[in-house]
Amino acid sequence: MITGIADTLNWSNTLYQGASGYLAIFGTTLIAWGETPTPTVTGDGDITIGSIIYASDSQVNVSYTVSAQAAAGSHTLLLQTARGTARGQVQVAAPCGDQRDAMIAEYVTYSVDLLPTCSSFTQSSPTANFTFAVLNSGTYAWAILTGYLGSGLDGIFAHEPYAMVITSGYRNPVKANSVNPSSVKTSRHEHGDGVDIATYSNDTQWTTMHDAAKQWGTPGGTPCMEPRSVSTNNHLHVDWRPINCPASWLL
Amino acid sequence: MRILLCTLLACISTLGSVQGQTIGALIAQLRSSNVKERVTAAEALMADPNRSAEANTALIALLAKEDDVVREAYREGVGASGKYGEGYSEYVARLGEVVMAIADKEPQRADVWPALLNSPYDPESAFAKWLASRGDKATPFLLASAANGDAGTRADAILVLAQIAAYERKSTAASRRLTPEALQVVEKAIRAGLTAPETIVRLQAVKAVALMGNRDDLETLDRIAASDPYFSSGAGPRGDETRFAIRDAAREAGKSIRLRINTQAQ
Repeated sequence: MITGIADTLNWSNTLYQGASGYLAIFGTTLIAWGETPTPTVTGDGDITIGSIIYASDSQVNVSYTVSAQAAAGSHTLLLQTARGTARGQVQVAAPCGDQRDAMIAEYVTYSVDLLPTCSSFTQSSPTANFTFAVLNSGTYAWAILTGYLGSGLDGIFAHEPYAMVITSGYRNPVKANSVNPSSVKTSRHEHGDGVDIATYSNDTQWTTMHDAAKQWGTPGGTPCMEPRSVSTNNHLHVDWRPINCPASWLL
Repeated sequence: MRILLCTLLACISTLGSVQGQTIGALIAQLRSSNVKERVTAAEALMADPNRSAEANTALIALLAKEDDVVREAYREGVGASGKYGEGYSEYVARLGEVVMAIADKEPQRADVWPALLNSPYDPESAFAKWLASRGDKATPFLLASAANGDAGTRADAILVLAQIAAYERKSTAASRRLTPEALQVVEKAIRAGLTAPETIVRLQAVKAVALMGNRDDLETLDRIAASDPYFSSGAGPRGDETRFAIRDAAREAGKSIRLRINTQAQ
């Protein structure tokens, strides 16, 4: 039985017209308890399944290609073993038709741990206190500004200990790579839930802004903040990642 | 589970590194001057659930090395995340978490505590709270930092010492890690920060006293709340407010202590 299918790049069930990559098929008895070590996986006319990379009873990984002309919507994949055939669904989405297609391609090119969809991007600010231009440090007219970023920034703004200046917000992967190539795969600035706030090389200003920010987190937690000894006191990095804030950072 | 959590290609790469290279080769790679090579080897070793004692020792030594790298970047004014990227700072944090787990299993190790205590961390983080319950290991280092570091280091050490003091005060005799005499030394170091000339030290000391202070601290806190000179202008949503951050923190500290006294009295 297939319980789920996801692109291994971003664990999304949505694939794009003309895209290729690897799928993880999750389920039970996918190799029939070893009776079919290499099951047969087939797509429909729009999705072509290539080689099997990995196979176990709980997971089978395969390469795939989606036709550029694939119909948008739900598509069925079949997995066949000696004991029978299991079915699973993936969604195929159309390109956005604007700059966002190039932006999504950048996420693939740089192997970012996020593969956004057209609806991930916005052209407006999620806060009344900071303009879209301030929050968009990328090179396009679109940005990802998501999660608790908007409400978190508004909360900090209302209690700011001094005039709050955002020095960097959303970065598209090309921009993130130009800032620092070693962070391009994981930066929260690419996820659209992180900003840097100026703290003017002053420990007390860093700490008072940190203390103002820590009240405006995700439900049940503070925002995720990089320690001063890593960022220095010239800026405070704050992000609202949903999980995995390091134990040594503030959450 | 590992396959669930990482991408297909990254998984193959990680497994291949552990299987394809000897542990010795990976450990040797940890000593590379190239950050990328160290990170690659460390990630492979950290992902190995059956890591050897030799690998654990090498990872502890690696954290100590990265501590030096972080401090050097700080001294240069760019910071490790500025010099090597956010990815590097997250890697150091992950490495710290692995070393924390080693410390939990082998707390008697001599190498593990200096590496952890020198590592970069927020004084109000989960890591700092973890340290608070291991006061016997952390206190000597933190007392030295509170006395001799730069202002920011002293301030942060004081805030972690306060968490240790609060933990000790709340603990039963069986779970305490400090002697009464050692606890007195800790509390004295924290209170000394209240009169420091540096604003960052006073600010963190006031927050520290909020965590562990008692009735005897109220007069001092009230005085700070009325007269501490540090202020910043341009604050608030209209940018027209003047804020006295240390006075505000002292007011909050006084409230916390009074609430604690009242709760204990009931």
